Amino acid sequence: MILESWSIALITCSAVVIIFGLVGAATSLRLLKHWNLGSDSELQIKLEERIWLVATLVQFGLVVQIISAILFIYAADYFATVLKGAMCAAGSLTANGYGLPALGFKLITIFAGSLWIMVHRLDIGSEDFPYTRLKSYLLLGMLPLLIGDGLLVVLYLVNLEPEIVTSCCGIIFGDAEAGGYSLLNYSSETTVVFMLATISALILAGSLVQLISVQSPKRAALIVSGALASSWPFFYLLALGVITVQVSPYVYGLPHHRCPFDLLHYPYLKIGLPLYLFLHVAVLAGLGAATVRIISCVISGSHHVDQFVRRSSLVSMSMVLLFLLTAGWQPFAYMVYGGQ
Amino acid sequence: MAARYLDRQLNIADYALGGLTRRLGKNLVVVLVFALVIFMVASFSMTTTSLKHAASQLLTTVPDITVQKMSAGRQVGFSTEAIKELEFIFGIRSVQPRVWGYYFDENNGANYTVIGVTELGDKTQLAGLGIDFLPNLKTDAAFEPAVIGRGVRENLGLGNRRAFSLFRPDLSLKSFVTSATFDAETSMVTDDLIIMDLKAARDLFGLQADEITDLLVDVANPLEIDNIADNIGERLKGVRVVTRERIGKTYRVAFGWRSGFGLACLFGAVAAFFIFAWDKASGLTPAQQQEIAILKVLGWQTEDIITLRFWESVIISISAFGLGYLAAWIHLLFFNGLLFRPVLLGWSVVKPPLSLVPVFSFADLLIIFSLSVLPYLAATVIPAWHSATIRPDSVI
Repeated sequence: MILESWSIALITCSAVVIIFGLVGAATSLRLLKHWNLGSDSELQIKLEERIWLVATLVQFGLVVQIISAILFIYAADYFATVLKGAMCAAGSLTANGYGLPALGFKLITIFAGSLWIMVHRLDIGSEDFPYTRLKSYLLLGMLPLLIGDGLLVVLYLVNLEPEIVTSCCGIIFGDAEAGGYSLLNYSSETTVVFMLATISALILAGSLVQLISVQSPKRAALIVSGALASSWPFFYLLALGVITVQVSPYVYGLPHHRCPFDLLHYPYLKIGLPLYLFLHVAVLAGLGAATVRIISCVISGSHHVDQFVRRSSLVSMSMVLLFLLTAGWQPFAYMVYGGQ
Repeated sequence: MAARYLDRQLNIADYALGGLTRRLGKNLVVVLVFALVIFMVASFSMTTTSLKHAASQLLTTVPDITVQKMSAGRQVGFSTEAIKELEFIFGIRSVQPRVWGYYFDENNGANYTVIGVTELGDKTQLAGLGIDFLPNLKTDAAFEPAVIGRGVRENLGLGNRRAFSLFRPDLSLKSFVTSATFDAETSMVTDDLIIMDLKAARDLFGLQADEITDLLVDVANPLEIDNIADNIGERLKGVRVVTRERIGKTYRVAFGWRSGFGLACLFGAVAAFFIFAWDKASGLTPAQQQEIAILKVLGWQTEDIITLRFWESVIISISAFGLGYLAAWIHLLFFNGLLFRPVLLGWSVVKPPLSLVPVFSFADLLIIFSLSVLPYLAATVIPAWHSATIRPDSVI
């Protein structure tokens, strides 16, 4: 279904991001090759100007990628009205093997782009641009992801045929033992909730340690922030799982309607929007704080790291709490008041 | 901190607006050309949405399941005996035989769709099609009553007359009297339609006494439609079973594909505009270069100049977006999607005088935005950076 207005819009967004990525990567290569802060040559002055080009490209590319992700989910919702068996975006994204990986690549590039911007803000806040080389490596690392995202989107759209029979979200995210097939393949719904509660508690504790011991020795900071940085992705995936299998049926008021995408439609949007907003801001701020702390242990130079880590840790902790409260509200209300 | 950031952005946006009004003539040309591009993209998108909406509304009149006999890959007539086979399927509310065919009018080269139904007088048979029944429905035995579409009435040149005749295959004449005409609102499906009694349709097409072209099955529980359709397919050999849901999906795929194809055809024009935008943003006049140099001398940073350029692009694209979107809305509402309707709807001698109603959809807005505003902003990013790196000493 490549000749659909949705498809053309998605491919346009991917093309813009890839072109920006290529220009940014080419500039990064030049920066890596010739960057010499001690020099006051014409080339160095030009390279310093090019930092702004890369930053503008990444910032604008990030905005396009966020719009592209929203577009992708809405397009999948539209495709569900055409595909046999699909009832919402979950069905159309699993209609072939490229839909969910494409969405995953979009989310990864959004997180990577946001982290890049955080590092960039700290970099330009310092006189000697301590992270310029690191930023260039990061951007070069992001390029394959952007190209992969574009390729996956095209492959998904090319292989999407109206005659494909797909499943609805109740089956895809259902219990594997009861339905025989489940994308999540979890053993028990309560186990997933228990795991999320545990990891949330650990993350909150870790962030608190990171917050109160900003001036701690490098080794201790590396251990705490390293553990936090590796925990946030697990927290994110578990949170998405819990939203799908535990929270969404309560929001819809239907025990077998397990869908993370319908939450983005009216009237569920009033819960879905804050839920996803709190989750993403929490993960971004938390991941940002931990990553920046790790970077500052390896490359010293920026004077604003402590302030940034303090602020980001506070934001991530409060957002995690807000997320947990929003996620728990509907099941709690059901247990207390019963029914709708 | 957020308030200070917002304040800074507002001040830069204010300055950008002032700069744009100083070069009003040039910027107005860009806005108008860009609005034209957005108008084309938006018209396609909105006409498709309106057509999908109209089709889904009219689909409420289509039976749950339609059964047709196939032979050598083509549809053929079959006997009403098949109804007996369906009587034992639990969940079927009613089964109605129908004759469906096309009548070619040699006088004007038009094709009319002829449908023969069992109970013509019964309004429930044609529920949802909005029929204006004419008063005094008394018919002569020689004249068969028929309900006709507005397009048929015009093509036959009936005027105020009610009687008309059509040729049988052996070229003898069969006479009809108009008992009703279809509502203008349903003209998308009824414009070329003539509905008559089943026996009259068989007589007109020269079919056998019990021959029909399809069976219309009404199902009590909508959730069971697919199961019953499968069951019918197993009981009756060599038939095609079409459900209403399937027809709806086919409509959506067809309109979606045509809209995408139209947009792909527009791609050249859209790309040309973005190259123009890139070129215009790259070529700074000496006065503009001087302005940037002065701002830099006054203390503006490279980032501030890029933000200024960004705000200029945003103001231009949002103005063009508003204008183009409004023009597309007017084009659809008052001119019925005149320019792009033939591409989306197809063409025939009896053209349905369909009245399209614009439907607001966030999805449409998102598509139009990503196909117009985003590429425009993207085209101006690198020139914006380029202009921000001008060194004051080289200009002043």
